[in-house]
Parts: sequence; C-alpha cells; structure tokens
Amino acid sequence: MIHYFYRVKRLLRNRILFFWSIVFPMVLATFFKMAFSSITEKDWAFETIPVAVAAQDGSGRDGMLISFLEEMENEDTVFFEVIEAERSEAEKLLRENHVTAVILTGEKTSVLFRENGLSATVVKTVLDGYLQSREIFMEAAANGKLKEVAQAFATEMPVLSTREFKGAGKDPIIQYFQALLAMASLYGAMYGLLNAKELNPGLSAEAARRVAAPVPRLSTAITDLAAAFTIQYLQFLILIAYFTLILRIDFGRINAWLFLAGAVHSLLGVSIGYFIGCAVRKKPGVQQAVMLSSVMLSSFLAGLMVGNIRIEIELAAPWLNRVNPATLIANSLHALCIMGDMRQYALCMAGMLLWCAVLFGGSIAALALHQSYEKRGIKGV
Amino acid sequence: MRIVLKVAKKALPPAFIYFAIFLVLLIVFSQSARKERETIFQASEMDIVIQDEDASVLSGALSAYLSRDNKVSGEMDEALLSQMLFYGKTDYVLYIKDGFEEGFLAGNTETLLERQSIKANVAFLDQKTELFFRYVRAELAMGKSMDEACRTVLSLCEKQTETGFTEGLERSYETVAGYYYFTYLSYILPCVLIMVLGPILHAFYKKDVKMRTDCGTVSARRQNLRIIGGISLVALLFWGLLILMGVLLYRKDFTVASFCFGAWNSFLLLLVSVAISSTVGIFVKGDDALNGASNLISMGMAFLCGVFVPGELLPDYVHKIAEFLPVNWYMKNAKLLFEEGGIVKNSDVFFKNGAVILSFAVAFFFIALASAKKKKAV
Repeated sequence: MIHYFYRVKRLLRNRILFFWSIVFPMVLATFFKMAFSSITEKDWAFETIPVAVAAQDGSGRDGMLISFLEEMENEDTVFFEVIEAERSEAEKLLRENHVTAVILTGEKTSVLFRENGLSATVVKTVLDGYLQSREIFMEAAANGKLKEVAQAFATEMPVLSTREFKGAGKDPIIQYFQALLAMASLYGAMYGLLNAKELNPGLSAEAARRVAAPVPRLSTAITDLAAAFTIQYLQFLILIAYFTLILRIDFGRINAWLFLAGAVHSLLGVSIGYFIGCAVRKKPGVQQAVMLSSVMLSSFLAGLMVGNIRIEIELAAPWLNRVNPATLIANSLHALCIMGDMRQYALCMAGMLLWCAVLFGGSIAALALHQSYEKRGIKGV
Repeated sequence: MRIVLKVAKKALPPAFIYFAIFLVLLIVFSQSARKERETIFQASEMDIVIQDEDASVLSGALSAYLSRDNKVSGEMDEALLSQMLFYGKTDYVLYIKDGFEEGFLAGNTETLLERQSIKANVAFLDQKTELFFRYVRAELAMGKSMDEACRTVLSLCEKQTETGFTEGLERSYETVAGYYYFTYLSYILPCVLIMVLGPILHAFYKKDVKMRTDCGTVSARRQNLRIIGGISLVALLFWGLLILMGVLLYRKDFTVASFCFGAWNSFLLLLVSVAISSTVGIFVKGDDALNGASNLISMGMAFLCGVFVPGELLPDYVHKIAEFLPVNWYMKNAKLLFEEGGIVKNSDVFFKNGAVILSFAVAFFFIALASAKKKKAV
C-alpha cells in the first residue's frame, strides 16, 4: 500500500503531466464554452426576417400581400417585419443590409436579394406559396368553384403534429466537449508512458534502481498502474465537475453509469501509454511524439477539431468509429448522457475493454520479447 | 548571433508541427471563401427524411413536392436518424403513418403525420407542408380525384416568383480566400514565436551561462543588444517565410495595396508576438512549460478574437474581453482591408487600430525588460 501512495505522490509531482492532463483540457473547455456557446442559438434560431415591400411600374400598394406577410407566424413569432418603402429607398435598405429582401409588387411579384441563404429561401418559399394560392383561386373562379375552394382553404385542419426528439440534449456543440473529455482521458497515456519508462531498466536509471529492489516486478507494475489509474480517474471526476458545475454545460443525463464509463476511459488512456512505452523502444522523446500524435489523431477523428466528423465517418466508414479509442469514449458519453441508448453504451464499453486487454497483452508480450533478446545476448535499443 | 540561431534551430521541429497545422487550416478554410458574387438565386437545401409507411398517392406527392427545393431521403434506421438529427445532418423528419391518405380524405389526420426537428429555423417547412395539403384540399373541392389533384398541385409548383440580386454591392471579406491567410497568421505568429524564441531566452538567462558571460569583456548593454538582434532576426526570418507563402499561394487574391497593408498589419502583430514571447520566455521556466504557455496564449487569443469562430457568432461578453487583446485589433484591420472600399475608404480606422497594436507591443516590451531586470537583480 505504501508503494501505491508513493507512486501517486511521484506522479502528481510531475507538473508537466498535470498541466497537459487536467489544466489544458480545462482551459480548452473554457475557450470552447466562450466561443461556441451562442453558435447553435444564433445559427438554428427562428428569427423574424426584415423585408421591404415596394410597388413597381406605377402600381398601387398590394394590401393583400402585405397583410399575408404580416400575419404569418410561428409560435407567436412573426415570420416577417414588413417595411413599406419606395423602390429606391428599399434597395438602399437592402444594400446596407437592413433588410434581407425587397419584394416588388405590381402586375408581377418579384423579389430582390443581397445574397443567397436560409432567410432568402424562406422569403422565396412564402412568396411562391402566395403566388400558387392565387393561381388556385383564379382556376377556381374560372371553374365557378370559388366558394368551395375558399371553404377548403379556410378550414383549419391540423395535419402536422410534432414528435419530440428523444435525446436529453439538443445542442450539437456538446460533441466538442465529449471529444475534449476523450482527449483528456487519452492524455492518461502520459502516466502510462512514465510508468513504462520507470519500469524498463533499458529506458531510465530510475527503472534500473526499482527493478533491483526486492519486490516482484509484476507487483510493482500493478501498483504503478493502480496509481496512474487513480490519478486519471480523479482528473475525469474533476473535469466532469468543472464542465457541469462551473461551465454549466448541459451534458445530458448524468447517472452512476457515467462514473463506470469514466473508469474504463481512464484505464484505456493509461494502457495506451503503457503499451507505447513497452513496444516503442526508442528515446523518451520519440515515445512521447508517438503517443501525442496517436492521441491527437484519435481525438481529431472523434471531433475535437472538426465538428460532425463522427457522423461523417459513421456514414462513410462506420468501422473506424468502432475501433478509434477517442470515438469509443465520446460515443459512450453520447449514448449514455444524450440518447439514453444503453445498448450503444454497452457496445462502446466492450470495445474499450477489448482495447485495454489487447494493449496490456501487447505490453506484456513486448516486455517478454525484449527480455528474451536480453537473455540471448542481443542488445536492445 | 550565431549562437542564437543555433539554439533556435533546436526549437524548430515542434514549431514545424504547428506550421503544418497552420497550412492545413489555411487550405481547408480558404476553400470556403466564395469566389464570385452571387447573381442567381439558389435555395438553401434542407436535408429531409421521409419515413413513409403509407406509400399512397398523397404521401408520394408530398415527397415529390418537398424534393423540388430540398434533399429528400427515404427510410432510415431509427438510431442513425436520431444521430443525424442531433448533429444537424438531417434538418427535418416526416413520419407518415399507415392509413394517412384515408385519414386525410375522412378529415381525420391527427397523429398520422408527424414532424421532428431540433432546429427552430425550419418552421417554414411546416408552413410549406401545411400549404401542400391546403392545395390538395382545394383541388379536391373542385371535384378532382386524388391522383389528379396531386398532379395539379405538383405542376402548380412550377409557378415561381421571379428573383434578382441587387446591384452595386462590393465583395465582403468572407469572399476573399486571402483573408483567411491573414486570419490564421494571427494564430501561428504568437504560437511559433513563443516556442522558438523562448528557448533562446532560456539559454541566455540560465544562471550559469549568465554568470559566465557577465565575466567576459562584453558589456551587459551589448549582450542585450545582441540577444535582441538575434531574436529579431529569427522572428523576421519566420515572418518573411509566412509572407512569401502568402504571395505564392494567394497572389491572385490580393491587390498590391491590400497585400502590402495586410503585411504591414502582420508586421505589427509580429512586434507584439516578439514582445509577448520575450515576456513569456523570461517568466516561464522549462521548454515543456513554454509549449503549454504557447498553446494557451495563442489559442486563447484565437478563440476570443474570432479567428477560429466568426466574430458575429461570439457572445457579447467575449467581444468585451477581446478588446484587451492585440489579436482583436489585428483582426479588425484584416477585415477592413477586404471589406467594402478596402484601405482607401477605411484608412483612418486602419491606422488607429495599428496604433493600438503598436501600444500593446510597447507595453509587453516594457514588461519583458522590467522582468529581465528584476530577474538579474535576484
């Protein structure tokens, strides 16, 4: 037990590891929160569109169109803010970006835009609807069925009902925080790498000293692993608390299963570092470069730098999402906290545990291989 | 001077990783620049999924009606569909239940047609769908069969409002690929300079080295001047490389004036970056810690000043914080250069912003000098 506490102390004293595994993710999360917090709100919100209506070719005011536009609303928010103006004034408003479109009324209704986009599409769709409705009424008048058509048009018959989204959150920005948590978990590889370095006599003087001690090597390895796991798991808990309590990020449903997931994430991170430390028998700098590039590539594929990459990969190469460690971590969080999909969660957990088994197995094999070289007198790197 | 370059050479490999990131960001984001001004209306396509259990004439017509301006897909696995909705890959889902057409004809459609979306801005699709059913009802009221009514409604969709674009608009900064070059320059300059210049200062301010050089015949003033000369040379070489890259990649995108003033703006940022690097190099111990500081400072300024996320999408309080950061003023100038009228129209504001950047550089230089002096006294 005493070895365990000393090991925890030793690992905690490494300020660089502490910075990269906890301070850096916290700071990055703070920046994410500051930069991304209003993106969805501003991008997906329903907003009233300002439009200018002007008469052309000396025609008079089109009262019917104006009241049609003014009456359109969605859940108490009107679709359009209508500004009636002369054509030149309306075009000036459009050029100065005060309105999205200029609707020109007269014998033919037409519309001027500044640029394409969703607002322009909404204006065009509504005007098309107005034009097509007018066409139907003209056809009905020609067939002497105006009364029937007017009645059919006026009858309120709710056709469309809303099906609620079953997820616990509706903001896709959470994917960045899930990927960030995945990156922080995989940064546990630094502790695994340090453990491997300090247990392989060929890699450091500390390791040579520790191996010479009258303690079985397996027992030291397990103690080291337990210490690294403890620190990594505590960091996971601190990060979750920081995200939800300080940054107030809506992480979805948080329950006991999340803490089990955190344990597996931490174990996976540590095992990656341990494997690299045992299998890549090069200078510490090279090992670190291999570890960092693996973690960053994995986190990139989980959506840390490019949003929606996970769903794009799911559509193009789903197998990659089943094997990428950072995606497994992020998807386990998504399945558990957002979608409440326990089957998906269990699959991700199984994938991660399989990775841990493979990595620890690989580490033991690499160590055994190295020792057999030593016994045969072949010098390691 | 030679020693300075030798130390700088050691710090180059990690700096090149960030240089590669810069190149990737540049290429990816400059692709999003629209090259030409829009002159033809193009509807924003919504991604719609229709889960049609009814497979009737009416449901088929609805699908055809919506697919005129949108991308409509058929049946999809529920779990995947939920993910697609969440990530915004699918904007709108319509669930048409079995017996919908009969229900519609009988005037009872409740719960037979459901819509699902997590975006509020797709409300116009609700209106469009409701309107489709009104049209069909109107056509049926004229005595037509369902098949005939649906065909008439679909042909009615050919009636479209005429569209046009207002004339006399100048291009916006977002349409210039070179704008993205100057934008990401504000991330890479402080990031790499802290990583490269920091170790140089560490090497010269190491206690043993400092004591040894102080024993020599070179005065403290000359020592400092040589260090400053050395780091300035390294910084200028790096800046020159970036500018050369800009010329090679985006020469068609710039006018001579916009490029020259853009380069001047980036030179002012270079001064600030050198000053920040000197301050950080003196304060932060250890090359590993420098790497962390470099990431925090450059990424922090990039996130808060609208480099990674467009400024319009940032909350107001972030804009207020950004006022105290030099990159914010640099970004304002970069936008001015490619906005309506360019430097000719905006020269006053451009030079005022430049003065603010310069004052940041001066302030950081004084902090660096004061901390160097304090360190020496200790």
